[in-house]
Amino acid sequence: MNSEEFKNMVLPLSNKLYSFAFRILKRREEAEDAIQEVFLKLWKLRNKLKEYRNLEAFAMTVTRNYCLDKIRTTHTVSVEDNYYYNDPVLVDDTADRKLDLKDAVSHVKDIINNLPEQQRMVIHLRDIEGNSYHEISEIMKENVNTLRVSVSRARTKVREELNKLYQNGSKENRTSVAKIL
Amino acid sequence: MDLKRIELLLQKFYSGESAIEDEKELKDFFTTNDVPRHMWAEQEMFTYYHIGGKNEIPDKELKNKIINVIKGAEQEEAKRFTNRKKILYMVSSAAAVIALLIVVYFAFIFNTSMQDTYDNPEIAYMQTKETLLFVSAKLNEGTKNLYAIGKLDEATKPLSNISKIEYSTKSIYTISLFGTGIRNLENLSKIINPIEDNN
Repeated sequence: MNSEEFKNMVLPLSNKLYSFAFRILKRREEAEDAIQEVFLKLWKLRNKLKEYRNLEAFAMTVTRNYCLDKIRTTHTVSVEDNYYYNDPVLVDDTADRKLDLKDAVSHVKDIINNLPEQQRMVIHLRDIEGNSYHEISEIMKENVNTLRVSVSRARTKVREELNKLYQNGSKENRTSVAKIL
Repeated sequence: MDLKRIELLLQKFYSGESAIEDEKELKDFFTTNDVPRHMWAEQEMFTYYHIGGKNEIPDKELKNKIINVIKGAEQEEAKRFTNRKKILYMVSSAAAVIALLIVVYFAFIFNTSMQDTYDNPEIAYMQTKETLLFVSAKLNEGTKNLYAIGKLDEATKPLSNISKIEYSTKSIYTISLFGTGIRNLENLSKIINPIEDNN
């Protein structure tokens, strides 16, 4: 694969690889550094890249391995980024509710960020990227049944945490309403 | 929208059995409809899955950074390649010089060492002939001892008598004729039976 082919076939994957790296490492700068390293690796492997049936899955695997190594060797998951979003969702009783997209992003993102690595990656690959289980199994080097179990656990956990936020919100809301009254 | 169907899809979703199409349907439902209150958490979740992931895009500079990294690697490779070429050039020229020296050295030796030790060619010829004769005589003496191997053949001759064993085994065959003789004796039993019949 020459540099022109590399630029046309591998470089467009950068956004996808980045968001995967970001999901694993949780920090922007680290994810960006990781992606540069990953591309350097892919570049060095460019003569073998055509042998891989699914180039994207291979690139995702390289990203996953690199990020996991990074976590294992540096333990740099900082407290700040691990910060749990705990602001209750304010629920008012008006029937039509405009979901604040910003809130949705931060709630769910924080909940996912607090999942174990494996579940975090699986949720990302399945529910956000919409990969098939077959592709995920190729990326994660894990069998499909194990992945389904992971997905199920992660989804259930996300719902649980969100429901907690909603319940707290409505409760708090009620008490504040009571106070005003 | 059929809420029962959505509940069913959610059930599949949480147990990890939903197909991609099911999940698409859920995303569509939760991002385009007003949903009942007990599903608000789910609405938030599917909204994030729908838009959130794509929202987390990298800095615009990242692509340029990647291109620079690759360019750097490319240049380094080119440099390493020319360095390798330089080294190869130096090694091969050194090898050529050494080969040349060896050739010159041997040419010198052969030119100087092949000198005649006899002045008269006839004496030289006689001397050579004498030496070769001596060598051939010694060679013949050595082969004489090998003659004894021929006696091995004589020793094996008596072993041919073994074949005579077969003749003697043939005469043993007559023993088997006993069988037919004994069968004839069976008629003797008829002599006894008439006596029994009379009783």
